[in-house]
Amino acid sequence: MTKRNPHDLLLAAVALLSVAIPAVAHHSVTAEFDPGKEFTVTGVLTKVLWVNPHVYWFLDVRDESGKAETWSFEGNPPGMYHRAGVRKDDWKIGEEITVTAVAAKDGTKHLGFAKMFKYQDGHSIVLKVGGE
Amino acid sequence: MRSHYILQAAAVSTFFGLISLPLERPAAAQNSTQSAKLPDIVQSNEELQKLYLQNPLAQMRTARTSDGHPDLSGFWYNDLANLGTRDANGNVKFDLGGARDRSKPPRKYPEPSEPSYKPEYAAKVKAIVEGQYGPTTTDDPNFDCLPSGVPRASTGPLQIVQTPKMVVILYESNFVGESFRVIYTDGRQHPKDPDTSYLGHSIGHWEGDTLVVDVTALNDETWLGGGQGHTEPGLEPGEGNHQIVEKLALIHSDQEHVVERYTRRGNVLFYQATVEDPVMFTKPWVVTPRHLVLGGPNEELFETFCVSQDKEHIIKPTNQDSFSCNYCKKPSN
Repeated sequence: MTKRNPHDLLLAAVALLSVAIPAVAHHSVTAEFDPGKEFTVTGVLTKVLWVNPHVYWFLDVRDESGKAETWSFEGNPPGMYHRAGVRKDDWKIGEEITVTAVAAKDGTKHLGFAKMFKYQDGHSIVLKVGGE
Repeated sequence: MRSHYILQAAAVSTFFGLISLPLERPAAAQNSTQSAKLPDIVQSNEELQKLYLQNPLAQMRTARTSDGHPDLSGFWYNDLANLGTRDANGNVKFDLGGARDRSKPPRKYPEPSEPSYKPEYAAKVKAIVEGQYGPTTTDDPNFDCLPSGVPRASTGPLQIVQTPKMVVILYESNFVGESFRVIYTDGRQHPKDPDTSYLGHSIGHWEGDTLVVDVTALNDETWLGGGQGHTEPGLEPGEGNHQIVEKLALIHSDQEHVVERYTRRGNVLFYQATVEDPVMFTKPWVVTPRHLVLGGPNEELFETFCVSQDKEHIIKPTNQDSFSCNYCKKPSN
């Protein structure tokens, strides 16, 4: 849309007020994860749990000995993604995928808050919680 | 630049304050052209409500049912469409903070309000919030996927189905699992000896264009709000214009009594509520007005069952505000 009129501006501005309400979530990311501890891991996507209060993705990652370990990644509520046009189908089970995430503070291994998924064909899904 | 992460804990009650306002119809379109410039700081709930009413969506025709009442039916939500983008190569980007124009100072909201607790319950609330890390505490019943209760549930997204004898609200929720309420408008009274429940017993009647709902028989297993008040989502405390207001742990007793007011103006649904709790409060708590917008014809209610997986990983503050963490320990040598 190129044409702008005061109504558009007002609508956009009021929309910000609207957004302020759902821009709250189940918990502070920093209450569970450390934004300063980012890591990247590659594996095969085995499951997407499209549930409240957080979407979860599960990845089979092979360690140095070749043994597969399950990693899990937390995201935002499915409703938020859905309304923003981000769909469960954007993730393909069985595909190799590289996940960038931030680590759990409590020391739980193989758990992170997902920031980016990168597929072998080069396309990516970036998830930001705002502010970064 | 350091990443900022903050998603406020189901703090939907946070910036909802103390004043209930009559929903006067705005002076039609005249406002909409003159008030395109919105204040960066919303000083009061009256101002917030006026701002809501300036929304051009609120000035559209109000749909009505055959009996003349406003038709509340429809899917109501906070439009999040502008948080996601997708390009021709299949790249997807979601940015929870994406709706804000960062070239402008963040808009501030009225202070969040809390009920006025009797001293013994104020002490209880204080004890709970002292155990919070930032805005988060697993004491919040939402961590167990329980229904949010009234009025916390009424923040959308939700679907309303209105018939002459009842209004049904189907809650989608962004946090807890889906749930529903039936508001009887057939003239019945509350049951004399009801069992309490998470969402209580609701009877409604029309006062002009407003559906007034009386809610009783609520159990004490929900909170009225949690998390913490804030002026700017998406920023860490102390950064930018983020201001922590107060940590919230809004408990209530099973004597909670709520009067809700649902008013449709154009394609905006306004929600006001007053909460009484003779056990815990010193006076009724008037929740700041909320509003939702009508979804487009293709917007549908979405399944949102809740599976709690994160509770065990939530950390608690310590004296040094540090935490046990294998990943973030500094190398010892």
